[in-house]
Amino acid sequence: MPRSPFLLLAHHRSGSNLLNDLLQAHPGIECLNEPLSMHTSYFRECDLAPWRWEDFDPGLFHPALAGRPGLRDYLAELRGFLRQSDSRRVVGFKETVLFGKLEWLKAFMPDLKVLFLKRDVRAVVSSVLRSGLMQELWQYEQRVPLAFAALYPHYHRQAPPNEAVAGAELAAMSVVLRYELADRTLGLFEHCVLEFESLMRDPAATLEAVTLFLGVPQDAAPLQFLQGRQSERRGGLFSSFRVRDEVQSGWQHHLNPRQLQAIEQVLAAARPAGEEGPHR
Amino acid sequence: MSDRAIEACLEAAVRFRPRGAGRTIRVAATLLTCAEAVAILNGMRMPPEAEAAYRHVNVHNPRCPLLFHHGRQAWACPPGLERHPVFGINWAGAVLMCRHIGARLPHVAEWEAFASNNDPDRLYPWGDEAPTHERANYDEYLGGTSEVGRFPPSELGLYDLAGNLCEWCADPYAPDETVAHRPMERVVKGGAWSKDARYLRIRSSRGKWERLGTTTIGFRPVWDD
Repeated sequence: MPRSPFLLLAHHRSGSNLLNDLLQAHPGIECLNEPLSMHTSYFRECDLAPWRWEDFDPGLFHPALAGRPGLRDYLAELRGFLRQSDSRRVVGFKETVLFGKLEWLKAFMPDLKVLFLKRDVRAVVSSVLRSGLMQELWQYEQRVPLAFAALYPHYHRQAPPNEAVAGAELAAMSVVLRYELADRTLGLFEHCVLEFESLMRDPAATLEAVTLFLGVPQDAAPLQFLQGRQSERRGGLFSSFRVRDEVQSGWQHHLNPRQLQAIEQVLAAARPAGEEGPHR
Repeated sequence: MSDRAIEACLEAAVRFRPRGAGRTIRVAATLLTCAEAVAILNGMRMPPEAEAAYRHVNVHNPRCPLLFHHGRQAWACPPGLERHPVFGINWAGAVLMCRHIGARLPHVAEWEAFASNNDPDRLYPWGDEAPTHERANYDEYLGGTSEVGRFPPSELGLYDLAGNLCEWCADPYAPDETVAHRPMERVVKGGAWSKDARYLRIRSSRGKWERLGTTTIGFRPVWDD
């Protein structure tokens, strides 16, 4: 019986490489790694630009793609590939640049399921800052403040004492903004919200929930893969070889009190008045 | 094939007759390197990737080792990567590049034959002993590709049959003999720098979407004699 394809949606540096690797370790799951942000120039450039449900056009896909026939062909091929989910395996993709385009995505691919990976904002901010990719590759300064202001017009950016604090504030704005966009639109899809901390704390139960959601049988391979990857730190920036304690609490050593304060101010701006919220 | 890098690639190729085959083939001793890829692309006069979705070379991944220098109107790779295997080229691009040098991609049966030196029971290109990071680049020990020739060759003189980069094969992928081929996927063999040890086995095959040029797939040309 055909199964629905899936999107693994996550903020940059929130553990999605590890989760993607875990999914790939399952013999019944194929998960493409960022086919839009790492295989086209376009979707990184228009990250956070809102594409609405009503913008979908069956021929052009989106008015912004009118002069881009090659990109339209690519999107059609991608959709065709994702629809190869069948009784033996389910096909999906991981992406970080679709938070502003979920309404459009539902129109483009109505049968898509979404697995949304969330993580403690402080841990994400810490990892984003250490990656060094925030400006050159992801261009947060050009994209995030405007989109954040559209959702939180009452928020005024701080006058940070140094670049490190300014970076923490900007990265926190990115996380809060994207999580809010997801919260507002995920109801359109059959979806599952997964917390990275749960994956670290109880991987067996979390992976069971994921396989149930994707409609594939449980398999020991992802759990074995995770245990192997947590045995030592190894590899480069995108490696999933990371010791569990470092993954879970590394941010506590990397963020200073001023940065934590800046993150808290962003979170406070996003909370309904009087509410004490978690950091995710 | 006027470029010296390509001539050297062909000169170093290993002559081999797969078991049961009527004729020999010549197998590139190494994965195609970045320097060789640059020479081929320039020899083909391959235009720059101008679309937001690339046709053959994934110039949109910041880690792509190939770039088009608009001032010189030529492809290039960053200094230091010349002897690294090239990645970021999709299956159609690999086919075209092979064709330009009179070569082609190997079929799965050929690949398994030269990787095992015609021994169908052999587990790994070096024999049946378990992989170690002295034998191959895999499992993130190095965190990226390594220069070709860094690890010991097989007894035929072929390098990186296990690890460094997976290798595109000519054939469409089918998970087993009971189901039809998946038309959008091609077989990759050999494992890669970021993949775990199970993919280093000669019999291990994966199907990958042929449209994508990823950071873990390269290719090895073969020539029909």
